[in-house]
Amino acid sequence: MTYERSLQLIQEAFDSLHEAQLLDQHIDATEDTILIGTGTLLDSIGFVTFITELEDRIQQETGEDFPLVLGDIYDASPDQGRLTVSRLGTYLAGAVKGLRPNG
Amino acid sequence: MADRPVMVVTGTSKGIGRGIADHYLARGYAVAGCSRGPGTIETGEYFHSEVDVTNDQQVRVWIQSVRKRFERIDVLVCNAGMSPPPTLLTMTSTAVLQTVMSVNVTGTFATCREVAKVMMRQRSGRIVTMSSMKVALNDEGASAYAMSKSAIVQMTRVLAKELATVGITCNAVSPSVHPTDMLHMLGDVGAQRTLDQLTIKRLVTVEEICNVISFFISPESACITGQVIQMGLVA
Repeated sequence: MTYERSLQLIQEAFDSLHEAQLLDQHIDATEDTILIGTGTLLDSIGFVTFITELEDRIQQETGEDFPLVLGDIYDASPDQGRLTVSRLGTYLAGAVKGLRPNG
Repeated sequence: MADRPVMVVTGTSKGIGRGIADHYLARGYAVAGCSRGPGTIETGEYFHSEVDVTNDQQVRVWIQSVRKRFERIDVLVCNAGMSPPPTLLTMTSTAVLQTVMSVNVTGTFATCREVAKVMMRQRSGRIVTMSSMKVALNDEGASAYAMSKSAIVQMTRVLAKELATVGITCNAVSPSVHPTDMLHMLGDVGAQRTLDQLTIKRLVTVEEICNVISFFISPESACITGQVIQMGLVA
């Protein structure tokens, strides 16, 4: 459930940035959606903007400041390759206290 | 949303930072300033926070609070810095080096990072960092300080390239000698020796420094990025 909520937050961040015209295209955050590297729909500026938006949403949700550090995300699942929505969602579900269950 | 341009300035309790804040407050800016201690400016459009710029978390929280209050940041002037007494490298402790690098480099880096995130979302902004004539002078006794100010120039140039596509410029001012506490540490002989090395052999004023900042942050300077303007010195 918490993992699902983290995926919702990721999608909400994408939607918000697209509505604000900060992302050129709408992105459907499936679990396999790649966030960095070959195959991603985000350029470097888009990625940073996305992470900042996600941090804001986590703060609104939990009341806690939670800076997202790439190294921490990779360290949490060193056996995985690219950073995908699933990997980020799993990290958030484990690391962010207070993420509300869906609904 | 603020109805006037919003400027963030670090190190506003005294010296150049205080002068910069006063200058732009008088010209209609809302200024969010910080220092490690209480603020020294009392006007309606100045907002002070006690922040240690070497502390990532404090910088982050501060910039978030500025964004929440004003909803945007138009200009960042990374002024906060420190200078140790002149000491030959062979007599400079690693602890002194680490302190100088922490305040001058880490503080500038962290502030630029957090403000740049805000500016990236608004797709505009001006970042101005503070270097020093000491970089060009290769002055004996200034190894730690010059090293830190050189690092700021390098960071500014890289950041300028990283942010160019989103309408943000990053430039550095390199003042010569300004009458601050740092000058007093040089003593009369040291201060005169430094002045003698300059092309324009006098102190620069904060108004002259602000003139350079105003050039960098002007709408007409949108294509000026990654540059360093030396004051009082042909480098």
